Amino acid sequence: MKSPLKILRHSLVIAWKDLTEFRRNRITLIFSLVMPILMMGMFGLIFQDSISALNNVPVGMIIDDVGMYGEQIAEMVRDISSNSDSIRVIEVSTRTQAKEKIFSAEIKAVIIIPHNFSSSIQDQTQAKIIIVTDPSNPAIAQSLIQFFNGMINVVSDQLSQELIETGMPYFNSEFVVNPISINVESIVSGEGSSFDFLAPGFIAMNVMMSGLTALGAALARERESGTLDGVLMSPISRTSIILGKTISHTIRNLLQGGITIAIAILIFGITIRGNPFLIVSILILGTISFLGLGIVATAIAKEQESAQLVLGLLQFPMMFLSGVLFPVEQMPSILQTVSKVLPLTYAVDALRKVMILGVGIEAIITPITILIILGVVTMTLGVPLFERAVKK
Amino acid sequence: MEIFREKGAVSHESTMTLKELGLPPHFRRLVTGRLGQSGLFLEVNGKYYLSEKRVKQIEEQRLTRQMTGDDREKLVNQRKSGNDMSAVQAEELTKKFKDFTAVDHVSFNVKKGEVFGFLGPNGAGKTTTINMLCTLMQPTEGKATVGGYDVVREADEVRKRIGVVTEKLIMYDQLTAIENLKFFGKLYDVPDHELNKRAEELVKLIDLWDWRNIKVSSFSSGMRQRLNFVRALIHNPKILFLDEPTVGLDPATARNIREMIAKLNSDGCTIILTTHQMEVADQLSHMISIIDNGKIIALDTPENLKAKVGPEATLEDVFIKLTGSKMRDAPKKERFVMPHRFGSVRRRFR
Repeated sequence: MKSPLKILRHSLVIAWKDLTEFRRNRITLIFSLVMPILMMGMFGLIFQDSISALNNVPVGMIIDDVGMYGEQIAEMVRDISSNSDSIRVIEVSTRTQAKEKIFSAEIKAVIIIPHNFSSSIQDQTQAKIIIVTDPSNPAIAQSLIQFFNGMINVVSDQLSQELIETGMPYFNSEFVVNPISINVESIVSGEGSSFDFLAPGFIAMNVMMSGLTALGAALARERESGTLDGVLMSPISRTSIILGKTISHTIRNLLQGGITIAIAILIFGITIRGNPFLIVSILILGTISFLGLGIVATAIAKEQESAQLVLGLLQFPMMFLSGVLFPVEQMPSILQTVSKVLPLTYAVDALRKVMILGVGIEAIITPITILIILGVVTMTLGVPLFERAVKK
Repeated sequence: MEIFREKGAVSHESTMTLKELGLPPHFRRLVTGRLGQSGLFLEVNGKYYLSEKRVKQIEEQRLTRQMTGDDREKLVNQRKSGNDMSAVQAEELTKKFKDFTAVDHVSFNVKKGEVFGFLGPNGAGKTTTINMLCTLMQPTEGKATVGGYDVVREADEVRKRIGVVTEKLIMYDQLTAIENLKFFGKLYDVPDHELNKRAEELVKLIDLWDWRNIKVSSFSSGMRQRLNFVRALIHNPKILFLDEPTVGLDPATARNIREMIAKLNSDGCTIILTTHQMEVADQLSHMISIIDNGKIIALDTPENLKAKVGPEATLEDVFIKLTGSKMRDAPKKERFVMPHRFGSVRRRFR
C-alpha cells in the first residue's frame, strides 16, 4: 500500500503532464473552447422567445386580497387548475415562502393578488395582478405569462364591458379600458433570456461529456501510442492515474466553464448571480461523478468500440432529456420520469439555480447529494474496474 | 511423438469421454500416437490419456533429448540455480489467451550482470514472456521473480528495479525531450535535484542536447528511438529489458546504442535483449535462449550454439536450424489467426 501523499504527488505529475499536452495541442484547445460558444449561440438563437406547452406546471398563488374581485380571480385559477392539465395551483401564504418554493423548484411561478385588488376596482383605479416568474427557465416563464395574460384579459374585458353597460360616468379612462393589468416580476433582478437558461446547461453538459469520455479516450490513445505501458510499468498506484486524470479534467472543465460564462456575459448578456465558489464546487463534483461513471462504463465494455456505444447510450439521452436544451417540465411525463434517473439532470439543475437564481447551498441539497452519491459509488467501483481493465 | 496441450477440437471431445468414464480431472491431458514410454496411461478409442504430471515429464525428456550431454547438465543447473545470483528467474511460466497458449511452461534463469539474448521467430512468445516479467501481463500459471521479487505479488518492487525499452516508443509527442524524461523520472520518485542532472546527462549522451527543449513531435524516428532508449534509464534500473533497441537506426547510431548497452552491462546492469538482429545478439549476449511455439528450445552460450551447428556457423544458422525456415506471421493481439496443428483447422481468437 502506498502512502496517500505519494499517490497524490504522482497524480499531480500525471495531471500536469495531461494539462501540458492539452495546452500545447492547439487544435484540441481551440475546439474545446469554441464548442460551447458555438453551441450556445446556435441554440440560444433557436430557442429565443420560445414558448413551451404547459403540462401540469406547478404555480403558486398568494391571495392577499379579501374582497370579492380577488376571490373571483382565485376561484378562476383554482378552476383551471382542477379542470385542465396546464397548471397545478399550490396556495402559498407569503412571498418569502413562494420564493423558497421557486428556488426548490416546487413551483415555477407565483400569481399574487395584492391586498388592494378589490378596493382598487371599487375606487375605479386600475387593479394589478402580480406574476413572479423563475428566470432560470425562460420558456416556461414566458408561457406562464402568456397564459395568465390571456386569462386576466378575459376577466378584464368582461369587467370593462359591464362598466360601460352601467353607463356611469368614469373619470379614469385607463380603468374603463383595462380595469385589471398584469405586472410581471422576476424573482431576481433582470430579465431571463434563453441564454440564461442555456449557459448553465451547456457548462454542465460539457462536464458530463468530458467526464464520461475522459478516461476511456485517454486509455485508448495512450495504449495506441504505447505510453500507457510506460506509465503502467512505473511503480505508481493505479489510483494515481485515475486521480491525475480527475484533476486535469476538473481544471479543464473549470477553464472551459469559466470561458463559457465569460462569453455568455459579454456576448449574450446574461447575469451571474450565484456564489462563484459554489459554482466551482458543483463543477468539481460533476467532473468526479461523471468521470467515475465513465470509468465504470468503459471498464464494463471491454473493447473500445463497444465502450463508445455504451458511452453514446449514456450521453445522448442525457443531452436531450436532462433539461440542457429544453426544460424538463415541457416533456411528456414518461420522459420526465426518465430525466429523474439521469445524473446530468441534477447537475444542470444545481448549476442553473446557483448561476441564475443565485441560491445558496441549502436550496440545492438534493441534487448535490445525488451527485455525491454517484461520485462515491462510481469511483469506488471505478478503481478496481480500471485496474482490471489495464491488466492483461 | 506429439503432445497436445491445447484443449482443442480433439481434446474437447475426449474430455467428454473422460467424463463419461468417470475419471478424475487430472487425466485431461492427452497424448496421441505411439507412446514408447512406460508409465500409467489410459487408452480410449486409440487415444492415450495420462496425468498432467506425466505429460510434463515427457515434455522435459523431449526437450533435453534435443541437446547434448553438456547442455542437459547446464539446463538442469540453470533450472536449479534459483539463488541470489539470478536477476530474473522464470519457473514454468505460462500465459494462455483463451485456448491459445502463447507461453508454455517456460523456465529460465538470468544471472546478475549478464546479457541474456532472448530470441525467437515472430509469434513465438517472446513479447508475452517479457510482458509478464515487466509486470504488464499476469501469468496464467507458473511464477517469475525479477531482482528477487515476485512479478505478481511484489509488482511494484519489480517495477522500481527494471527499465524497459519497447519496440513501441514510449513518449508524449507534446512534451519536450527533457519533459518526457522528467515525467517518467517523477513516476519513479527520482529526487528533483538528481532528476534534473540525470535528464540532462542522458540527453547529452544521445546527442540531443540542442533539441532538449523541443517537442518530441518534431523529432525524426532515430531521435525518438534514442530518447526512448534513455527514457528507460532515468531511474538507474539494475535490470534492463530491451526489445529491438537498434532496429531501424542508421549504422552509426546503432553502434552507439550497442556501445551504450555494453557500457551499461560493464557497469553491472543485467540486460535481457530481444531482437531479430542475430549479429547484435551474438555480439552482446553471454547467454542465448531461443523460444519457439511458446517453449524454450535452446539455452546456451552463443559460442556453444554455433559450434554445434558447424565450424563456420553464425547465430543465424543456428536460429534457422532450430526454428525452421518457414515464414511466419506475427500474431496480432486483437484478431489472432493461429495455424492449428491439425493443418486444416484454423482457429480465430478474440
